[in-house]
Amino acid sequence: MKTQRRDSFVRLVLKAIPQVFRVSPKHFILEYAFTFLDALLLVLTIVWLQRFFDGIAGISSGSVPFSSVMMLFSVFALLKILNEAVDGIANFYGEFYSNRSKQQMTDRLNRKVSKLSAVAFEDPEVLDQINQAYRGAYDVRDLVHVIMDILFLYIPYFAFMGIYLYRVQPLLPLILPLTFIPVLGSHLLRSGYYTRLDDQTVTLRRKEDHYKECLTSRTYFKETRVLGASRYFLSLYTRTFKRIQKLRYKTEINSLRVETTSNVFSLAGYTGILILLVLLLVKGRITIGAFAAILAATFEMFGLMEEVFEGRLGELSRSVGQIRKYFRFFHLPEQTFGTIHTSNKSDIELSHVSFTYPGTSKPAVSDVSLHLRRGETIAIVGENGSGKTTLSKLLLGLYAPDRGRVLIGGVPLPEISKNELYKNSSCVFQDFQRYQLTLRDNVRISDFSAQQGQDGRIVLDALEVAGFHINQVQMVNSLDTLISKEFVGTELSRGEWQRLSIARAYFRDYQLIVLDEPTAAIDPFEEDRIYKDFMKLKKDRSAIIITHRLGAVKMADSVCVMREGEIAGQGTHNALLAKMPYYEHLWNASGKYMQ
Amino acid sequence: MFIRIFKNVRYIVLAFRCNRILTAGIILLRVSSAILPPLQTLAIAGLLDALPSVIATKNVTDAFMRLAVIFAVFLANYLIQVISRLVILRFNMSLENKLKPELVGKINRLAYKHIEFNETYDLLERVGEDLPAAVQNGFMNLLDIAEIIISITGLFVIIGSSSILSALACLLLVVPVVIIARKSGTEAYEVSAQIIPFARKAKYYKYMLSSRETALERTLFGFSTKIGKYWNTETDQKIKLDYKADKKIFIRSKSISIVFVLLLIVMTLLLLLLVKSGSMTTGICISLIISLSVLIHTFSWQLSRMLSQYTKNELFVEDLARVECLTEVPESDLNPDVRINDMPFKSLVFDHVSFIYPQSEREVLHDFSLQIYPGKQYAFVGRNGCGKSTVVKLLTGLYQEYSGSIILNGRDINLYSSAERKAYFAVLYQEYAKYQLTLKEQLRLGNPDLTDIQIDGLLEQMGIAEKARSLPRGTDTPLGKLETDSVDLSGGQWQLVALARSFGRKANLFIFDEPAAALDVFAENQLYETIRRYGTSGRMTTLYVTHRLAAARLADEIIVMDKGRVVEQGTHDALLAKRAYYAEMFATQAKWYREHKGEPE
Repeated sequence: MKTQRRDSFVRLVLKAIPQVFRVSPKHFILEYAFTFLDALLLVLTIVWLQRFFDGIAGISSGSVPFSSVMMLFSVFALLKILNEAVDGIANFYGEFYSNRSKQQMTDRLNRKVSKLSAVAFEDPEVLDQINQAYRGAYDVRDLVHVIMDILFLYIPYFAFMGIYLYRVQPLLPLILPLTFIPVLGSHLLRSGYYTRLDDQTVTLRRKEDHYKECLTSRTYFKETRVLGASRYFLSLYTRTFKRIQKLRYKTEINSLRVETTSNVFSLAGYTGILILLVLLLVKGRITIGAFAAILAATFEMFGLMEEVFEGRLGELSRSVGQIRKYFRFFHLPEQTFGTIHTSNKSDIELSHVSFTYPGTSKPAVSDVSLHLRRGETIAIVGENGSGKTTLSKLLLGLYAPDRGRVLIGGVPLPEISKNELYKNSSCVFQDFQRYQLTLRDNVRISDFSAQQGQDGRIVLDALEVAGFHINQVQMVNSLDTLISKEFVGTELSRGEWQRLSIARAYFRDYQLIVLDEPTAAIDPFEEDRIYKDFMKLKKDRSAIIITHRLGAVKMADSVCVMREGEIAGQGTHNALLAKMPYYEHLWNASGKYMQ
Repeated sequence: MFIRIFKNVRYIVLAFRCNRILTAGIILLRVSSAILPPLQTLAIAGLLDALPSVIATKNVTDAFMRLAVIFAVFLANYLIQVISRLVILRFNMSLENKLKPELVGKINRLAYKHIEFNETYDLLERVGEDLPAAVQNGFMNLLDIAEIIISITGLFVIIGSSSILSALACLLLVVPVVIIARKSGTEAYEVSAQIIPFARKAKYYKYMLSSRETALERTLFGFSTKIGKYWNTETDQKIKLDYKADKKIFIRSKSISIVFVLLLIVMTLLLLLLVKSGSMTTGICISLIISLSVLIHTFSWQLSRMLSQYTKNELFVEDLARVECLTEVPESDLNPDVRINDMPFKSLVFDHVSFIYPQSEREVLHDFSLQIYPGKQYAFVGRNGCGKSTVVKLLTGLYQEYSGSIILNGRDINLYSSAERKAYFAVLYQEYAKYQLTLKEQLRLGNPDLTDIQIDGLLEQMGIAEKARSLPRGTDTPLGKLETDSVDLSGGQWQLVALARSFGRKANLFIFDEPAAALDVFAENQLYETIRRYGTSGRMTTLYVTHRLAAARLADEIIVMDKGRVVEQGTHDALLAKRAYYAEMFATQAKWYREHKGEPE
């Protein structure tokens, strides 16, 4: 894969701003217009405060009439109210915008993810990238928001303040750097500390979680109790979190040290400003009103600087990595398709096909040639890990081979068009999904575009054929009952779920169907019926049955024996029994105690 | 209102329980830092009042004296901040040290029914997520509220020193603000609770759209577009509710601001009148106005946030109380008491045992009677839900609310301590635990006295010695995924490690609950053969539960269960000869393998 250049922070911001802007340009402009207004009002309030204070100082000396102080006061009050309102509106738009942006960024990701090929999900690296991209999607708008606030709130505020201070006394803008240099320095120094801590503790945190799970989670609870291993894990758990604690303590102390130093500078800054103001006052350069107003402004500025550097930029530096990953994710290669239309799935040919999962070195399937003809049923048998399931995914076109050719209906796999590749194929997967959806959607999910018939007749038929009896289960709202243990709904047993997954496969129009170990969770009586019904329904369509309970193979036209990724033999059941010792061994093993 | 205030007092109690000195220290520091703003107001007032004379006399010394006072207040504030950070850091550690093991230990000792019941399990996850942080937040939230109260009181005291009447008038005005803020806090919480179901659904749809587990069906069935729409619908709903909530919070907190600005106006008016009448100095008046305008901002945003957090904290206290009420099984966390192993196994009798799972109405075991004797291998078979696994759960004490009695060696099983039971039975479940430890530690978990030679012997017996030797650090290799040099095993290998651990134990009775459900038929055969071989050679008593009849056939005695009771019992041959329930079940499973060359029946 091509190595990508790491985006610089500026490029990242330049990429992010248009995306966030496009979510809703009108709201975007409004939000930051109000933010800008907020900055203006903050400074205006300070300016007015000076006049007002001068007025108050004038009351006692009698130089200013009380009524004009009242005038000054009412304008001040008005400015305050306006300031609160503008600030509120900007924040309000902000919240709303933030939600909308997150939705759109995530939606874009959803779409991108749907274009990846199925095999990409077998790559732990890609899974990791997906995870981080989703987290990054949440932070894109925050990045833009901080940058925009700096541009439209903090910078204007400081600029206006500078102008105001300059007009009062040309020396005064000196105050400005004193307010932000210490916090800025401290921020830069400390930003690396926490990322380092994260790296140091990542394994330890995983361990802590695991030991806690050993003591409290459902999967471990019973066994830990009957083993009497509680004390053991409790001491491991305590030891681990204390080690994390120690590392964290060290980091915090370092960070505190830097912060303390920077606070000393801030303190010096405050004092410097006060001395400067008093000197100017004594020399008669500024009025008492200006003195008090600037004092108030200084508090405000220190507060704002802390807000920007400690709070907002601090959070951002933690998420920049993820935002970068969000943008990089869109460069991931997608599944490619051809242009030829063929929906003929009844004839599939593999020739010298090999396939290796990403991140592994040993091929799962190697040099396999197989021809499934129209109407034929092939059983694939073999031990766990022999490549049976991988072979079925190659037959369905879900995975593209590394080597060799797959011809579907006579057309090479890469040349088939997007709309036709998976059309007319169906499958009951080994680890079928238990969707927390309504019963109807759980069936319909295999083909949302298909007709469901009047009152869901076709959906009901599929369920009936699969042996899922809607009356027997507590389906309060019949097809619209939500099936879920997480949300309020009805929960099904393993066996019922399995039947539902079979109904799902039947609901889809198919010329080829794959049954991957479909009866693992069903008791022997039911297993019998499912295979019989399956053969009856199949009629002239092609089918693949994957199983390690060899009893079912007798229904197939031919049996394909997999061993360590290769086809070790193929033929009818009887022929294989006669000529192939390994098959005979499998057959005997699986039926060993049943004769 | 009163009971509510009491609820969050819990956080203070918890904090004190973890570390008295640090808790007291934090409270003290917080109170002193709350007193500082009024002091600062006074110091600034002092400077402001001194300024006119300073300007007139050009005597700078006085001004600098007053500046020194302000500086002292700053310095105090700074020192308090530094010390607070340090103390809170320590405080956080002592919370973790006390609460983490306590809670995990508590959950670990709970009666098993709580773990199986979804609602309590969710509750435990909620509370267990990060208890120390929750307690710290709850405690700090109270301090935040206290700090605001103290700061305001301080300002009122300053006003009051000029005119008590105006101070009281101001105080009256604060009451409605607090009421509005409190209400808005509660409302904000309520809306966020309304959003939860939508958020959870959206999260689930996102899982369907992007997870590895759903990748195959997603690609073949092509449901991304439709589920993407579902995701958008739920998210829209969520945003709409959020929007509504924000609007409410916005209007409320802004109305608080407006009330406060009005309050400021009234107060300022009062202050101005006081200045006019000469009972208040200009300095104090200006200084108060500065402090008050800072407070408005704090009030309008933080107060409603603080109070909504307060409401959330109350609910957490309720959750915590609920966890504390859950029943524990005393001593269930003790190590096995191996002295009991010297008592040889004579008999195990189930005498008219009936049992209903909590939160259920169906009797899983109904008048169940059975006798088990030493040296034999027993298999429990039957269709799903016939109660065969329940027998194991009662035997190991996971559930105790049954009627009838279970008698071990002539003595009721409940008379044995939980530590004794643990030593007497070795149990292996279907959902075996994949402990992420080294191979050696895995085995010693069941029996700490195992020597290296015994461990090698066990691995040999289970048929995984070769695998163990191929590991980079042999039996000292960590298994699983935790460490960088960990090695993960296949499902079948994990199962064999668990089996080796079971057989390595000093127990008198060995129990296996569907141990092969996750294995393919070949690995399954191997597992049962190992159990059989090891069991007979050591003359052990073993019980196993299975729904695969092929496995049951290996046992000395098969116990056939249906609807919570024993329907047939005997050897495989005897049961076949009986031509009843078992024989019919066996026939269905065996049919596929009979040699009718070619055609299925």
